Amino acid sequence: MRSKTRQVELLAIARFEAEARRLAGRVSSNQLRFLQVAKAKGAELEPAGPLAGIPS
Amino acid sequence: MRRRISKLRYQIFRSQARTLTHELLCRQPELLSGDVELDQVRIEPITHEAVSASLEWLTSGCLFPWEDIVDWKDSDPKGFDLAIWFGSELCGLCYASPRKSRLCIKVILLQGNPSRSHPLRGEIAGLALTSIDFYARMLGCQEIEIQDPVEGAKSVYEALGFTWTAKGRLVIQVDP
Repeated sequence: MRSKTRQVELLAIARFEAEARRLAGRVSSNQLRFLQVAKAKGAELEPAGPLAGIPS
Repeated sequence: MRRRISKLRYQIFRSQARTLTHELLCRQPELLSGDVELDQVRIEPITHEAVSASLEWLTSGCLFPWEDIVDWKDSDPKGFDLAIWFGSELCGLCYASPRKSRLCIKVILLQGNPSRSHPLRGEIAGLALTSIDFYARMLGCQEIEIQDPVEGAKSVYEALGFTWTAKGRLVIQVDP
């Protein structure tokens, strides 16, 4: 019984991995810009420490 | 069983979003600063190890409630957690979630290492948002919102392409 449950989970994992990659699609222009801008201007613009959120 | 399988689905989506980000960097290493050793960059979930490492950031006088993330993840199955490491040095942490929305994923917490000399300095927002973008498309979300941008970081988000709505929300549309 336990091995059957495990088999169902393993099949689900494989199915979800394939689904995740299909839904993610190709690298987007936003993503390329995020990384290109971070590389070019991040050291100058990005503050050290908190970037978003409210401290506890 | 059905609930467990549903939780597993989002767990796999999170894992794949982190993996896809790392794969992108491996394929296009020029996207990171030239002096960054790519094999040292790790993009992982927020573990107890990450929470412990973040406690060292307390010396900067500001720390988000990262120790609560484990509880948040339990009650928020679509929440997305991210720890960005360079070797054994924790460089950034992020938590984002669509909560009950189907259209918008919100960046709730994002924090870089307060050191001004860590190896991924300046690249934390870009790396976190790249992962969130993958995850957003897996969930079918159409926009990413920065919920409470820190004043000093607003110019970063604007440079990355985020814009302000009439209602004062800082958002970017997710490419289909």
